Amino acid sequence: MSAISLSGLAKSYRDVPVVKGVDLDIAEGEFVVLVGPSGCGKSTLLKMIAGLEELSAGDIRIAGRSVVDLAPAERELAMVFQSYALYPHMTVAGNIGFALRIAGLPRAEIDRRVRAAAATVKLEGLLDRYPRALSGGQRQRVAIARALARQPKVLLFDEPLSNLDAALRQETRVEIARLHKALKATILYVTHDQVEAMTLADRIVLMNNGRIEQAGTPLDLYERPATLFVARFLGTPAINLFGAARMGLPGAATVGIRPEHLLLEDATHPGGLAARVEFVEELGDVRLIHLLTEADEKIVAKQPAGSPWQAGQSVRVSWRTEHLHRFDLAGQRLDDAPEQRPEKAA
Amino acid sequence: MPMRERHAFSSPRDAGEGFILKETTMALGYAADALTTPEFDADGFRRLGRFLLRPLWLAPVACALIVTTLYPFVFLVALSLSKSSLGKPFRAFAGLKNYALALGDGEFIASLLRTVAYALLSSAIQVAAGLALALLLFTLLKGGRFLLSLFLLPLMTPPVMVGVAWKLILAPAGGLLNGTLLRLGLVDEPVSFLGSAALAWASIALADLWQWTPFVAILCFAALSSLPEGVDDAARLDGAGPFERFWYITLPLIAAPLAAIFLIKLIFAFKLFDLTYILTYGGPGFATTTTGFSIFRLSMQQFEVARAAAETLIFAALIGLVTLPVVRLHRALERREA
Repeated sequence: MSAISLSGLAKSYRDVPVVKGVDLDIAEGEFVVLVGPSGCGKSTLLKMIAGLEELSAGDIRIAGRSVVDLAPAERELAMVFQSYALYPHMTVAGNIGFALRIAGLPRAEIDRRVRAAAATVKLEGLLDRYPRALSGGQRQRVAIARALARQPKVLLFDEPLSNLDAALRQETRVEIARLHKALKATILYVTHDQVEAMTLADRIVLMNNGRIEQAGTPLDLYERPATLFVARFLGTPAINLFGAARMGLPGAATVGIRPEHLLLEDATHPGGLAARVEFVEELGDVRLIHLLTEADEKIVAKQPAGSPWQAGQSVRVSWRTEHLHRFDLAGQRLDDAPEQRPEKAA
Repeated sequence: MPMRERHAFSSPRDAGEGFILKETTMALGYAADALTTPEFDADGFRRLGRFLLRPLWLAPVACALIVTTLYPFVFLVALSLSKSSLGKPFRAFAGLKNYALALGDGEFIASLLRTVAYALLSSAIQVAAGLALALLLFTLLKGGRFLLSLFLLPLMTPPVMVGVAWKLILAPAGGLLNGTLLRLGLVDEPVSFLGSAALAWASIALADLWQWTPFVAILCFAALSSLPEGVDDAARLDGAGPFERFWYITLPLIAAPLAAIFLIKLIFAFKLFDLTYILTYGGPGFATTTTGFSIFRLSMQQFEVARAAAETLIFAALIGLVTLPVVRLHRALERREA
């Protein structure tokens, strides 16, 4: 049985549809990341599941039970908010134990569960502090502990790392991954950050404009993007796109190739596209070679450290056929046909 | 000889009582430096000049304070210690005789008690009512700001007009309220709302409530708007119902502004005058004579300005005594949040 099952979920504000019919099944223990550009409806979707937003249409089942008519607290899920939403007038222990206090649990039991939840996220020493006396990362951990204390069936995360600085974000990301492994909890996690999505998810659900664009494992989405949108959304630097006609690939409208799949040779080499190196970004472990083709297309190639390319140099760009992503006029992926002509540009 | 270290600017925090004294000492210090230090050069004199200009910036505030606060206060204290009438003030020194008279006057003491009781009670009721109204607006329509501006209407009505309007509403003969009650058959004969002590107080409180609750509601609305984002949603997910959310989350979080609102309303309530003047003129008997009203009668009708001055100072001290705990409470609540 799936932990969460969404069918035909839709939401409109007045006449403006925000979520346009979402179907999704999340297995028990699965870590699903909802990702998409801002305004794509992912946060609204999460709030609908949490019960903080009314549905316009559709059904939500948690552990097989329809929860549409249930109050947020009765849905047996917990949520970690982007702003943490800690109760500023309560201590860490008070924050973590609030739900249990409301539920009327005996004090000893509350105390035990608060300590257990705090230990999970290493907050033991801070139970008597107030949120104002905590760092951003500690607040984040209190928010997670508060969610854990209720022993929910499902954990919802709403952009939990967006208020942390880069270093802390990385650290907390690993912490959340570890937590998921340890607790085997079902997690639905919303973010607009593709790195979080790629690293955390068992399965990524990429949303665009109120609909699911593609759902699958991170590598699925990266290696076989179902649409042009998915191809463009995942990967840094972004995928290089060419008009297919220029590439001599009939049937397709657009062809994409990832920067790490571009092969560079010096200008004397036969075949490939002629291009000039505009400038080079040195990242230490890799070099990003920014190129300008003869047709004025800007493309980026990812090359290993120590590769010889310098700004101003003329090069030939080529690739292997199996690395090409082909899309039709509507931006849908065309299945890899076997008859492509290799490496020769028009 | 090295110049003594001085800071050219003090922080605003310093602008308290010790400020003038400190400024003066510093100016004297500069002057002393100028006279005794051979190295005190042109630059030093420029600094001294700039420094001497500084009091000029304080002058407007100082003047305003002297005219509006210091002078009346000194005048009042002098008056209360003198033998005076409205026409002939300061005829002789009377010592504390006026204070003794005031404190020996049962009716004055009674008016003080009445005023304090009314201020505390009416303010509490109005803050509760205002908060309820603000909560309603806040939950019903998040864009309730338009309705909120309508709320300002009673506030924009001059207090005397409020009094007159309510006097017409409450009038026994042909008043709106009595007419309605009679038509509905709730009473057999017109009620004299302003004729009995309890009803007269209730009438004043009602008019007061009508005039001030919207103002309190607007302040409460502002306090509610400052609640941290997501906290209410988090409490909903934690299983707290509407009442629990109010009691455990909202109320503690707006306690500090609420105390401040109560304090403001309390001070307004102590100044209650127009409504008693128009509606009851302190009656029936002395039943609704507040201290402010009794002081007005003493000074303006009996011309006993000296005793009125003494009573005013006693009243002021009492207001301070009553509001002090509220100020303390507000500070404590605010510290908790900082």
